Amino acid sequence: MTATVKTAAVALVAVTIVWLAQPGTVSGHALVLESVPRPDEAVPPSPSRIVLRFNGLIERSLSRVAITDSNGSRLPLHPAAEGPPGHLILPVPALTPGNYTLEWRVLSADGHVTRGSFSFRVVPAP
Amino acid sequence: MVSFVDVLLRATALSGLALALGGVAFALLVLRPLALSEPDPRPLLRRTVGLIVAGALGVAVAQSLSLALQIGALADEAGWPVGAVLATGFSRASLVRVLACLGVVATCGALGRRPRAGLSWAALVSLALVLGGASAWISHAAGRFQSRGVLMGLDALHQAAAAIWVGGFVHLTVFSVKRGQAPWRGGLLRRFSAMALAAVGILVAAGVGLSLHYVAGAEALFGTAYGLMVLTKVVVLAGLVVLGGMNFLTVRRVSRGDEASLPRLWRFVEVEVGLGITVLFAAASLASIPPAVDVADRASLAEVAAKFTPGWPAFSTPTIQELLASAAPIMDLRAERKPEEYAWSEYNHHLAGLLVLAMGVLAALERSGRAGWARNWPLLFLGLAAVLFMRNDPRAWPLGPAGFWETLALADVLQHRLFVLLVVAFGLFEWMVRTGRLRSPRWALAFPLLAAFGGGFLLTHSHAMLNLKAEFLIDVTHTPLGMLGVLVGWTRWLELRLPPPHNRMPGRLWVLGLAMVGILLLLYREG
Repeated sequence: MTATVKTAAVALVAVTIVWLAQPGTVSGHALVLESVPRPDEAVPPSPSRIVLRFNGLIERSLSRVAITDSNGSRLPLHPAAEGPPGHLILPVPALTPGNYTLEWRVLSADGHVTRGSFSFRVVPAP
Repeated sequence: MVSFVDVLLRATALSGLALALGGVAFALLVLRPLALSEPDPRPLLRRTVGLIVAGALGVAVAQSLSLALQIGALADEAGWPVGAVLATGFSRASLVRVLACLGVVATCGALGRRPRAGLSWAALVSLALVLGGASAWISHAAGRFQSRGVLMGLDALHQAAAAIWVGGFVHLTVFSVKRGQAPWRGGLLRRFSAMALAAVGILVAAGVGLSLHYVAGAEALFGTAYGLMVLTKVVVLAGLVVLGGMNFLTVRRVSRGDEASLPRLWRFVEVEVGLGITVLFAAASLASIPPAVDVADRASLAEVAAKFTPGWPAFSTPTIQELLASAAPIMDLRAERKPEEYAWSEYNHHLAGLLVLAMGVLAALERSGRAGWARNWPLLFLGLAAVLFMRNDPRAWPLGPAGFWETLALADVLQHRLFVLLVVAFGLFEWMVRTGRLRSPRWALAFPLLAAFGGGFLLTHSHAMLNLKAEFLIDVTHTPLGMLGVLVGWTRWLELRLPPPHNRMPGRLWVLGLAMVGILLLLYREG
């Protein structure tokens, strides 16, 4: 192996190590611009559907949404097949009063997988 | 970890695109007049065509891995959604890119046998256009609701112009190595200069158009990760334009027969290659962050300014017991950081700042020629590595309860451990160079190369997703450190590569830059 090739190989290894040693970039830029219910909102009574509006086009068929109650029971939600672009409309069965965490995962049109979550409360009807 | 790997793959694909598109433009616009006058143009074109193939293969591999990564990231209890992913626009664009790359490789093979075949050149250009155009389908523009077509057009132009400019530098450097004094050199440089000028013009115009849509305002520019990354690209671009401008004037002098500045031109081209790669990494990072116009949770200008208001470093740290009592377990990635964690991190930065400032002072003493012992300053990197190893991840081994191997599964911890290895290697290596234990001039180039790329990568990382504003306010303090890293690296490179007395100013600049890194670390505030 010539000296030039050796030097280039060492440089490549060094740069690769520098590369790997960098603080990671958290990928994904699908943002929830608006949701029903809103984060930390108290909703009386249980909503019949949850709506998430994203900042760009998403692949609806590859979206996953689930809500988890305070006991840790997880309920997957299935987005409606139709809806405005960038929206997920999720029918929800009746929820008992309590705290819930909604977790979502979507694939944006440019191929980034993004995850997020927020909490909301279901309170008894007044 | 998946997200981090995805950005690396996108950066690799951008670098490959630069080699491929830059090579096609270089071959057609710069080399072609030379090639036509040669009885056998194959030797002239061999390296260029080889790099085009390497670039195309790089894009194909990176794009394929990126697609596989997305499929893996979407796998769940329902299985691997291969069919559903392959039906998406992103997948189709990825497959088009891969096929275009394979077409480029095949066409280059044909050109290697018959370099004058017009049909092969036409096919190569067409495939390059498809490759460049398909890039827009995997950009932010593909997901926008409004002005999608315009944004995709601007994005394709921006990416293609950047690829031709940065890739062109690489091709020019590789082509010119070992060619010595050649009579055609002046004409080649003039044609390259014209091509680079046109590429810069298109890149800037398209970039301004994209920024007007994605940033839209000063608060978005200075208060979001996306805006910060755009500013980073602009600053690095400005450096490239300055170097390019100086080279443009040199080319004009060469055309008039004055070749005195020619060695400096080649050294500047080397730096331009490095800065160009930095910009490509920034672009890959930018593609993974929400556009500033979509981000409501922005830092105000006052909040950003507060981060840069100097404060006296407090050399006190919580004890490890206090930290472990307050902080969440290391595996809890969503936990909110506590004041003790901020104080711990600030202390780490201040300690590192003392060591780096000492390195800068000793490096200056060494340059003065009055303190030969000061050449041992790189050994301070070992002290820095020890501090980082012990204190970077206090909840992991050796200070914390989480095991060494289990915590390597966390991207942050793995990166910290690799960084410690890098710092140790860096310090020992540079010490051996300065004390004459490694005599070859090539080894001395490792320090500036690692500093430049380390700074460049620091510039291009972002945490802006989990808690947009809070994480951005940490990122914004890293940006000047990254800029100084790039400055230290490339000015040290120029000090080594330029003949005296042209290397004196770069020599002063990198030592000053190193000391300033130390000062910034001493003034660092996180909480």
